[in-house]
Amino acid sequence: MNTAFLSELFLLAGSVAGFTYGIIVFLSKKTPLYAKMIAGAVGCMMFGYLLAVIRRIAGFEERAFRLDYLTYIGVFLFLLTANAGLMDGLVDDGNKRVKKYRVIALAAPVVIVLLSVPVILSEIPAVSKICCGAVALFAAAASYFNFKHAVIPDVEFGVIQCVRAYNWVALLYAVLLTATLAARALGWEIAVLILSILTCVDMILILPMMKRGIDRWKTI
Amino acid sequence: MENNMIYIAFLCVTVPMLFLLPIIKDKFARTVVGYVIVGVFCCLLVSEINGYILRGLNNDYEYVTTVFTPVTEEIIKALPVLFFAFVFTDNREKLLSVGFALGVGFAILENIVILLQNFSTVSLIWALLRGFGAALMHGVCTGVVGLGLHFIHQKKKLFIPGSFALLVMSMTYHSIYNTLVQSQYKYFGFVLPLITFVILFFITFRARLKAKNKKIQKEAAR
Repeated sequence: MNTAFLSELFLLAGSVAGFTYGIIVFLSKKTPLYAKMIAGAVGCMMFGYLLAVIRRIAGFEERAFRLDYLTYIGVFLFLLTANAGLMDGLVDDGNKRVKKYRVIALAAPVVIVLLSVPVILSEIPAVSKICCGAVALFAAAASYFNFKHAVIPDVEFGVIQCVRAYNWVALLYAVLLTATLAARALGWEIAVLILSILTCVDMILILPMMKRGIDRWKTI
Repeated sequence: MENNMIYIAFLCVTVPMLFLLPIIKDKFARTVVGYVIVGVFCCLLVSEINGYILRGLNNDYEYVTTVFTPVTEEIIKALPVLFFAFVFTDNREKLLSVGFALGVGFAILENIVILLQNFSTVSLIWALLRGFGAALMHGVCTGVVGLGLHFIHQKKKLFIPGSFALLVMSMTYHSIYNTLVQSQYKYFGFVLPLITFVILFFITFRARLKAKNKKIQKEAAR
Protein backbone atom coordinates (compact mmCIF):
# COMPACT_ATOMS: atom_id res chain seq x y z
CA MET A 1 0.00 0.00 0.00
CA ASN A 2 1.54 3.33 -1.02
CA THR A 3 1.51 6.46 1.14
CA ALA A 4 -0.86 8.36 -1.19
CA PHE A 5 -3.49 5.64 -0.85
CA LEU A 6 -2.93 5.43 2.90
CA SER A 7 -3.47 9.20 3.17
CA GLU A 8 -6.74 8.94 1.25
CA LEU A 9 -7.88 6.11 3.53
CA PHE A 10 -7.20 8.24 6.61
CA LEU A 11 -9.19 11.10 5.11
CA LEU A 12 -12.07 8.79 4.23
CA ALA A 13 -12.07 7.21 7.70
CA GLY A 14 -12.20 10.61 9.42
CA SER A 15 -14.98 11.92 7.21
CA VAL A 16 -17.07 8.73 7.49
CA ALA A 17 -16.77 8.84 11.29
CA GLY A 18 -17.69 12.54 11.33
CA PHE A 19 -20.65 12.20 8.98
CA THR A 20 -22.02 9.10 10.74
CA TYR A 21 -21.98 11.07 13.99
CA GLY A 22 -23.71 13.94 12.16
CA ILE A 23 -26.48 11.73 10.79
CA ILE A 24 -27.16 10.20 14.21
CA VAL A 25 -27.09 13.45 16.16
CA PHE A 26 -28.31 16.12 13.73
CA LEU A 27 -31.09 14.26 11.90
CA SER A 28 -33.81 15.59 14.17
CA LYS A 29 -35.98 18.48 12.98
CA LYS A 30 -35.15 20.52 16.08
CA THR A 31 -31.48 20.82 15.15
CA PRO A 32 -30.58 24.41 14.15
CA LEU A 33 -30.04 24.96 10.43
CA TYR A 34 -26.51 26.15 11.23
CA ALA A 35 -25.57 22.69 12.53
CA LYS A 36 -27.29 20.98 9.61
CA MET A 37 -25.16 23.03 7.21
CA ILE A 38 -21.98 21.95 8.98
CA ALA A 39 -23.17 18.33 8.84
CA GLY A 40 -23.72 18.90 5.09
CA ALA A 41 -20.12 20.09 4.80
CA VAL A 42 -18.84 16.94 6.51
CA GLY A 43 -21.07 14.85 4.19
CA CYS A 44 -19.55 16.63 1.21
CA MET A 45 -16.05 15.83 2.57
CA MET A 46 -17.02 12.17 2.86
CA PHE A 47 -18.30 11.93 -0.71
CA GLY A 48 -15.17 13.62 -2.05
CA TYR A 49 -12.78 11.32 -0.20
CA LEU A 50 -14.92 8.28 -1.07
CA LEU A 51 -14.69 9.18 -4.74
CA ALA A 52 -10.90 9.53 -4.52
CA VAL A 53 -10.55 6.13 -2.83
CA ILE A 54 -12.90 4.41 -5.29
CA ARG A 55 -11.05 5.86 -8.28
CA ARG A 56 -7.78 4.55 -6.87
CA ILE A 57 -9.19 1.09 -6.03
CA ALA A 58 -10.82 0.82 -9.46
CA GLY A 59 -7.45 1.68 -11.03
CA PHE A 60 -8.61 4.82 -12.82
CA GLU A 61 -5.88 7.09 -14.07
CA GLU A 62 -5.28 10.40 -12.21
CA ARG A 63 -6.21 13.36 -14.38
CA ALA A 64 -5.50 17.07 -14.16
CA PHE A 65 -9.15 17.94 -13.54
CA ARG A 66 -10.71 15.89 -10.76
CA LEU A 67 -14.16 16.15 -9.29
CA ASP A 68 -12.64 16.17 -5.77
CA TYR A 69 -11.68 19.80 -6.30
CA LEU A 70 -15.34 20.68 -6.78
CA THR A 71 -16.13 18.72 -3.62
CA TYR A 72 -13.67 20.78 -1.60
CA ILE A 73 -15.33 23.92 -2.97
CA GLY A 74 -18.68 22.43 -1.90
CA VAL A 75 -17.36 21.86 1.63
CA PHE A 76 -16.25 25.47 1.95
CA LEU A 77 -19.51 26.72 0.46
CA PHE A 78 -21.42 24.84 3.14
CA LEU A 79 -19.17 26.32 5.84
CA LEU A 80 -19.36 29.77 4.28
CA THR A 81 -23.16 29.58 3.94
CA ALA A 82 -23.50 28.61 7.59
CA ASN A 83 -21.14 31.24 8.98
CA ALA A 84 -21.70 34.15 6.60
CA GLY A 85 -25.39 33.53 5.92
CA LEU A 86 -26.68 32.42 9.29
CA MET A 87 -24.30 33.47 12.04
CA ASP A 88 -22.56 36.64 10.89
CA GLY A 89 -25.68 38.79 11.13
CA LEU A 90 -26.00 37.87 14.82
CA VAL A 91 -22.35 38.52 15.54
CA ASP A 92 -21.41 41.55 13.52
CA ASP A 93 -23.89 44.39 13.41
CA GLY A 94 -21.52 46.58 11.40
CA ASN A 95 -20.54 48.53 14.52
CA LYS A 96 -17.12 50.24 14.63
CA ARG A 97 -16.46 48.41 17.90
CA VAL A 98 -15.82 45.14 16.05
CA LYS A 99 -13.81 46.67 13.20
CA LYS A 100 -10.59 45.52 14.85
CA TYR A 101 -11.74 41.89 14.74
CA ARG A 102 -12.75 42.20 11.10
CA VAL A 103 -9.20 43.26 10.30
CA ILE A 104 -7.61 40.57 12.51
CA ALA A 105 -9.76 37.92 10.75
CA LEU A 106 -8.10 38.80 7.46
CA ALA A 107 -5.02 36.93 8.72
CA ALA A 108 -6.73 33.60 7.99
CA PRO A 109 -7.24 34.18 4.24
CA VAL A 110 -3.70 35.55 4.05
CA VAL A 111 -2.35 32.29 5.54
CA ILE A 112 -4.47 30.25 3.10
CA VAL A 113 -3.16 32.26 0.14
CA LEU A 114 0.44 31.93 1.35
CA LEU A 115 0.00 28.16 1.71
CA SER A 116 -1.25 28.05 -1.89
CA VAL A 117 1.83 29.74 -3.34
CA PRO A 118 3.81 26.43 -3.60
CA VAL A 119 0.98 25.02 -5.73
CA ILE A 120 1.41 27.83 -8.25
CA LEU A 121 5.19 27.34 -8.25
CA SER A 122 5.00 23.55 -8.58
CA GLU A 123 5.16 21.60 -11.83
CA ILE A 124 1.64 20.20 -11.79
CA PRO A 125 -0.57 20.79 -14.88
CA ALA A 126 -2.08 24.24 -15.31
CA VAL A 127 -5.64 22.87 -14.94
CA SER A 128 -4.74 21.45 -11.51
CA LYS A 129 -3.22 24.78 -10.50
CA ILE A 130 -6.40 26.61 -11.48
CA CYS A 131 -8.51 24.08 -9.54
CA CYS A 132 -6.30 24.37 -6.44
CA GLY A 133 -6.49 28.15 -6.78
CA ALA A 134 -10.30 28.00 -6.84
CA VAL A 135 -10.32 25.74 -3.77
CA ALA A 136 -7.97 28.16 -1.97
CA LEU A 137 -10.27 31.06 -2.84
CA PHE A 138 -13.29 29.43 -1.21
CA ALA A 139 -11.18 28.15 1.68
CA ALA A 140 -9.95 31.70 2.26
CA ALA A 141 -13.50 33.08 2.27
CA ALA A 142 -14.74 30.41 4.70
CA SER A 143 -11.67 30.74 6.93
CA TYR A 144 -12.20 34.50 7.23
CA PHE A 145 -15.58 33.97 8.89
CA ASN A 146 -14.34 31.02 10.98
CA PHE A 147 -11.47 33.10 12.35
CA LYS A 148 -13.67 36.13 12.85
CA HIS A 149 -16.22 34.11 14.81
CA ALA A 150 -13.44 32.50 16.82
CA VAL A 151 -12.05 35.81 18.07
CA ILE A 152 -14.91 38.29 18.02
CA PRO A 153 -16.36 39.20 21.44
CA ASP A 154 -19.87 38.14 22.25
CA VAL A 155 -22.69 40.56 21.52
CA GLU A 156 -25.73 39.98 23.72
CA PHE A 157 -26.86 36.41 23.71
CA GLY A 158 -23.57 34.57 24.13
CA VAL A 159 -24.20 32.49 21.03
CA ILE A 160 -20.82 32.98 19.44
CA GLN A 161 -19.01 31.89 22.58
CA CYS A 162 -20.68 28.48 22.28
CA VAL A 163 -19.43 27.85 18.76
CA ARG A 164 -15.95 29.26 19.25
CA ALA A 165 -14.32 25.81 19.59
CA TYR A 166 -16.07 24.61 16.45
CA ASN A 167 -14.81 27.65 14.53
CA TRP A 168 -11.22 26.91 15.51
CA VAL A 169 -11.59 23.31 14.31
CA ALA A 170 -13.20 24.40 11.02
CA LEU A 171 -10.45 26.97 10.51
CA LEU A 172 -7.87 24.25 11.09
CA TYR A 173 -9.56 22.11 8.42
CA ALA A 174 -9.19 24.92 5.84
CA VAL A 175 -5.52 25.34 6.73
CA LEU A 176 -4.82 21.59 6.69
CA LEU A 177 -6.57 21.03 3.37
CA THR A 178 -4.70 23.86 1.68
CA ALA A 179 -1.43 22.61 3.13
CA THR A 180 -2.24 19.08 1.91
CA LEU A 181 -2.91 20.33 -1.62
CA ALA A 182 0.41 22.20 -1.54
CA ALA A 183 2.33 19.18 -0.22
CA ARG A 184 0.69 16.97 -2.86
CA ALA A 185 1.64 19.40 -5.61
CA LEU A 186 5.24 19.37 -4.41
CA GLY A 187 5.26 15.57 -4.17
CA TRP A 188 6.02 15.48 -0.43
CA GLU A 189 4.31 12.17 0.32
CA ILE A 190 5.23 11.93 4.01
CA ALA A 191 3.99 15.47 4.62
CA VAL A 192 0.73 14.55 2.85
CA LEU A 193 0.37 11.50 5.10
CA ILE A 194 0.98 13.49 8.31
CA LEU A 195 -1.41 16.24 7.20
CA SER A 196 -4.02 13.63 6.28
CA ILE A 197 -3.82 12.07 9.75
CA LEU A 198 -4.27 15.52 11.31
CA THR A 199 -7.18 16.26 8.94
CA CYS A 200 -8.73 12.90 9.88
CA VAL A 201 -8.68 13.86 13.57
CA ASP A 202 -9.97 17.33 12.74
CA MET A 203 -12.92 15.95 10.74
CA ILE A 204 -13.85 13.64 13.61
CA LEU A 205 -13.86 16.65 15.95
CA ILE A 206 -15.89 19.13 13.86
CA LEU A 207 -19.39 17.85 14.61
CA PRO A 208 -18.88 16.89 18.28
CA MET A 209 -17.55 20.43 18.83
CA MET A 210 -20.63 21.79 17.12
CA LYS A 211 -22.87 19.55 19.25
CA ARG A 212 -21.18 20.75 22.43
CA GLY A 213 -21.72 24.33 21.31
CA ILE A 214 -25.40 23.74 20.56
CA ASP A 215 -25.94 22.09 23.95
CA ARG A 216 -24.43 25.14 25.67
CA TRP A 217 -26.42 27.41 23.37
CA LYS A 218 -29.68 25.78 24.49
CA THR A 219 -28.90 26.31 28.15
CA ILE A 220 -28.25 30.05 27.72
CA MET B 1 -31.38 6.59 -38.02
CA GLU B 2 -29.43 5.90 -34.84
CA ASN B 3 -28.85 9.62 -34.30
CA ASN B 4 -32.58 10.22 -34.33
CA MET B 5 -33.31 7.35 -31.97
CA ILE B 6 -33.20 9.52 -28.84
CA TYR B 7 -35.73 11.94 -30.37
CA ILE B 8 -38.00 9.05 -31.33
CA ALA B 9 -37.77 7.65 -27.81
CA PHE B 10 -38.37 11.12 -26.38
CA LEU B 11 -41.59 11.56 -28.37
CA CYS B 12 -42.78 8.03 -27.57
CA VAL B 13 -42.43 8.73 -23.84
CA THR B 14 -43.55 12.34 -23.53
CA VAL B 15 -46.54 12.56 -25.88
CA PRO B 16 -48.70 10.03 -23.98
CA MET B 17 -47.76 11.69 -20.70
CA LEU B 18 -48.68 15.11 -22.07
CA PHE B 19 -52.17 13.78 -22.78
CA LEU B 20 -52.31 12.42 -19.25
CA LEU B 21 -51.61 15.83 -17.67
CA PRO B 22 -55.01 17.55 -18.15
CA ILE B 23 -56.84 14.41 -17.01
CA ILE B 24 -55.21 14.37 -13.56
CA LYS B 25 -57.45 16.15 -11.09
CA ASP B 26 -55.07 16.77 -8.21
CA LYS B 27 -52.88 19.81 -8.86
CA PHE B 28 -49.77 18.48 -7.16
CA ALA B 29 -50.05 15.06 -8.82
CA ARG B 30 -50.17 16.94 -12.13
CA THR B 31 -47.03 18.85 -11.16
CA VAL B 32 -45.24 15.59 -10.34
CA VAL B 33 -46.13 14.05 -13.72
CA GLY B 34 -45.17 17.34 -15.35
CA TYR B 35 -41.78 17.12 -13.71
CA VAL B 36 -41.33 13.55 -14.99
CA ILE B 37 -41.80 14.99 -18.49
CA VAL B 38 -39.34 17.79 -17.69
CA GLY B 39 -36.86 15.11 -16.57
CA VAL B 40 -37.22 13.32 -19.90
CA PHE B 41 -36.58 16.61 -21.69
CA CYS B 42 -33.52 17.28 -19.50
CA CYS B 43 -32.10 13.92 -20.58
CA LEU B 44 -32.55 14.86 -24.22
CA LEU B 45 -30.81 18.17 -23.68
CA VAL B 46 -27.95 16.66 -21.70
CA SER B 47 -27.36 13.95 -24.30
CA GLU B 48 -26.54 16.66 -26.83
CA ILE B 49 -24.22 18.51 -24.43
CA ASN B 50 -22.45 15.31 -23.39
CA GLY B 51 -22.04 14.37 -27.04
CA TYR B 52 -20.14 17.62 -27.65
CA ILE B 53 -17.95 17.08 -24.60
CA LEU B 54 -17.19 13.49 -25.63
CA ARG B 55 -16.14 14.58 -29.10
CA GLY B 56 -14.12 17.47 -27.65
CA LEU B 57 -12.19 15.08 -25.41
CA ASN B 58 -11.40 12.57 -28.20
CA ASN B 59 -14.09 10.10 -27.13
CA ASP B 60 -12.35 9.44 -23.79
CA TYR B 61 -15.44 7.69 -22.47
CA GLU B 62 -14.13 6.84 -18.99
CA TYR B 63 -12.93 10.40 -18.28
CA VAL B 64 -16.08 12.03 -19.61
CA THR B 65 -18.56 9.75 -17.85
CA THR B 66 -16.85 9.82 -14.47
CA VAL B 67 -15.90 13.49 -14.36
CA PHE B 68 -17.92 15.59 -16.81
CA THR B 69 -21.33 13.96 -17.25
CA PRO B 70 -22.10 14.07 -13.49
CA VAL B 71 -21.50 17.83 -13.65
CA THR B 72 -23.61 18.53 -16.75
CA GLU B 73 -26.42 16.16 -15.80
CA GLU B 74 -26.77 17.41 -12.24
CA ILE B 75 -26.74 21.07 -13.30
CA ILE B 76 -29.42 20.54 -15.96
CA LYS B 77 -31.54 18.40 -13.61
CA ALA B 78 -31.30 20.87 -10.75
CA LEU B 79 -32.40 23.95 -12.70
CA PRO B 80 -36.14 23.07 -12.91
CA VAL B 81 -36.13 22.10 -9.20
CA LEU B 82 -34.49 25.41 -8.32
CA PHE B 83 -37.15 27.16 -10.37
CA PHE B 84 -39.87 25.27 -8.51
CA ALA B 85 -38.36 26.13 -5.13
CA PHE B 86 -37.88 29.76 -6.06
CA VAL B 87 -41.24 30.40 -7.70
CA PHE B 88 -43.76 28.00 -6.13
CA THR B 89 -43.01 26.51 -2.73
CA ASP B 90 -40.31 25.55 -0.23
CA ASN B 91 -42.42 22.71 1.16
CA ARG B 92 -40.10 19.86 2.10
CA GLU B 93 -42.25 16.97 0.84
CA LYS B 94 -43.22 18.73 -2.38
CA LEU B 95 -39.63 19.60 -3.25
CA LEU B 96 -38.49 16.05 -2.57
CA SER B 97 -41.30 14.62 -4.72
CA VAL B 98 -40.69 17.04 -7.58
CA GLY B 99 -36.93 16.44 -7.49
CA PHE B 100 -37.35 12.69 -7.39
CA ALA B 101 -39.90 12.77 -10.25
CA LEU B 102 -37.53 14.77 -12.41
CA GLY B 103 -34.68 12.33 -11.72
CA VAL B 104 -36.90 9.36 -12.56
CA GLY B 105 -38.04 11.02 -15.80
CA PHE B 106 -34.40 11.56 -16.70
CA ALA B 107 -33.58 7.93 -15.97
CA ILE B 108 -36.51 6.66 -18.09
CA LEU B 109 -35.17 8.18 -21.31
CA GLU B 110 -31.57 7.32 -20.41
CA ASN B 111 -32.51 3.67 -19.88
CA ILE B 112 -34.46 3.53 -23.14
CA VAL B 113 -31.54 5.00 -25.09
CA ILE B 114 -29.03 2.59 -23.55
CA LEU B 115 -31.44 -0.26 -24.22
CA LEU B 116 -31.68 0.72 -27.89
CA GLN B 117 -27.92 1.08 -28.20
CA ASN B 118 -27.26 -2.36 -26.68
CA PHE B 119 -30.33 -4.14 -27.93
CA SER B 120 -28.59 -7.43 -28.71
CA THR B 121 -26.77 -7.76 -25.38
CA VAL B 122 -29.32 -6.67 -22.77
CA SER B 123 -30.97 -9.14 -20.38
CA LEU B 124 -33.44 -9.22 -17.54
CA ILE B 125 -30.61 -8.81 -15.05
CA TRP B 126 -29.48 -5.73 -16.97
CA ALA B 127 -32.99 -4.31 -16.76
CA LEU B 128 -33.12 -4.90 -13.00
CA LEU B 129 -29.70 -3.38 -12.45
CA ARG B 130 -30.53 -0.32 -14.56
CA GLY B 131 -33.90 0.02 -12.88
CA PHE B 132 -32.61 -0.22 -9.34
CA GLY B 133 -29.26 1.42 -10.03
CA ALA B 134 -29.39 4.28 -12.53
CA ALA B 135 -33.06 5.15 -12.05
CA LEU B 136 -32.74 5.35 -8.29
CA MET B 137 -29.44 7.20 -8.51
CA HIS B 138 -30.93 9.95 -10.69
CA GLY B 139 -34.02 10.12 -8.49
CA VAL B 140 -32.01 10.24 -5.27
CA CYS B 141 -29.57 12.89 -6.56
CA THR B 142 -32.26 15.35 -7.66
CA GLY B 143 -34.51 14.44 -4.73
CA VAL B 144 -31.76 15.31 -2.24
CA VAL B 145 -31.17 18.63 -4.02
CA GLY B 146 -34.91 19.31 -3.63
CA LEU B 147 -34.82 18.34 0.04
CA GLY B 148 -31.80 20.55 0.66
CA LEU B 149 -33.45 23.48 -1.09
CA HIS B 150 -36.19 23.37 1.53
CA PHE B 151 -33.60 24.23 4.18
CA ILE B 152 -31.64 26.87 2.31
CA HIS B 153 -34.75 28.56 0.96
CA GLN B 154 -35.42 29.83 4.48
CA LYS B 155 -32.92 32.67 4.03
CA LYS B 156 -32.20 34.57 0.82
CA LYS B 157 -28.53 34.88 1.70
CA LEU B 158 -28.17 31.10 1.70
CA PHE B 159 -29.79 30.43 -1.64
CA ILE B 160 -26.91 30.79 -4.12
CA PRO B 161 -23.99 29.31 -2.12
CA GLY B 162 -26.27 26.69 -0.58
CA SER B 163 -27.65 25.60 -3.96
CA PHE B 164 -24.17 25.28 -5.38
CA ALA B 165 -23.02 23.28 -2.35
CA LEU B 166 -25.98 20.90 -2.81
CA LEU B 167 -25.21 20.59 -6.51
CA VAL B 168 -21.60 19.69 -5.78
CA MET B 169 -22.76 17.02 -3.37
CA SER B 170 -25.06 15.42 -5.94
CA MET B 171 -22.37 15.65 -8.65
CA THR B 172 -19.92 13.79 -6.42
CA TYR B 173 -22.50 11.13 -5.56
CA HIS B 174 -23.29 10.71 -9.27
CA SER B 175 -19.60 10.44 -10.08
CA ILE B 176 -19.13 7.77 -7.38
CA TYR B 177 -21.93 5.76 -9.01
CA ASN B 178 -20.55 6.18 -12.54
CA THR B 179 -17.05 5.24 -11.38
CA LEU B 180 -18.27 2.15 -9.56
CA VAL B 181 -20.42 0.82 -12.42
CA GLN B 182 -17.51 1.14 -14.82
CA SER B 183 -15.14 -0.72 -12.55
CA GLN B 184 -14.95 -4.37 -11.55
CA TYR B 185 -17.02 -3.46 -8.49
CA LYS B 186 -20.12 -2.53 -10.50
CA TYR B 187 -22.49 -4.41 -8.20
CA PHE B 188 -21.56 -2.03 -5.36
CA GLY B 189 -22.56 0.76 -7.70
CA PHE B 190 -26.03 -0.67 -8.07
CA VAL B 191 -26.41 -1.24 -4.32
CA LEU B 192 -25.34 2.34 -3.42
CA PRO B 193 -28.49 4.12 -4.71
CA LEU B 194 -30.66 1.44 -3.16
CA ILE B 195 -29.15 2.03 0.30
CA THR B 196 -29.47 5.80 -0.12
CA PHE B 197 -33.08 5.42 -1.19
CA VAL B 198 -33.87 3.34 1.90
CA ILE B 199 -32.33 6.04 4.13
CA LEU B 200 -34.24 8.78 2.27
CA PHE B 201 -37.45 6.77 2.51
CA PHE B 202 -36.89 6.24 6.23
CA ILE B 203 -36.41 9.98 6.81
CA THR B 204 -39.55 10.85 4.81
CA PHE B 205 -41.58 8.09 6.43
CA ARG B 206 -40.51 9.21 9.91
CA ALA B 207 -41.41 12.83 9.15
CA ARG B 208 -44.84 11.77 7.82
CA LEU B 209 -45.47 9.58 10.85
CA LYS B 210 -44.56 12.43 13.22
CA ALA B 211 -46.84 14.85 11.38
CA LYS B 212 -49.67 12.32 11.50
CA ASN B 213 -49.20 11.72 15.24
CA LYS B 214 -49.19 15.47 15.88
CA LYS B 215 -52.44 15.84 13.96
CA ILE B 216 -54.06 13.00 15.93
CA GLN B 217 -52.90 14.55 19.22
CA LYS B 218 -54.30 17.94 18.22
CA GLU B 219 -57.64 16.43 17.31
CA ALA B 220 -57.73 14.45 20.56
CA ALA B 221 -56.98 17.65 22.54
CA ARG B 222 -59.99 19.36 20.94
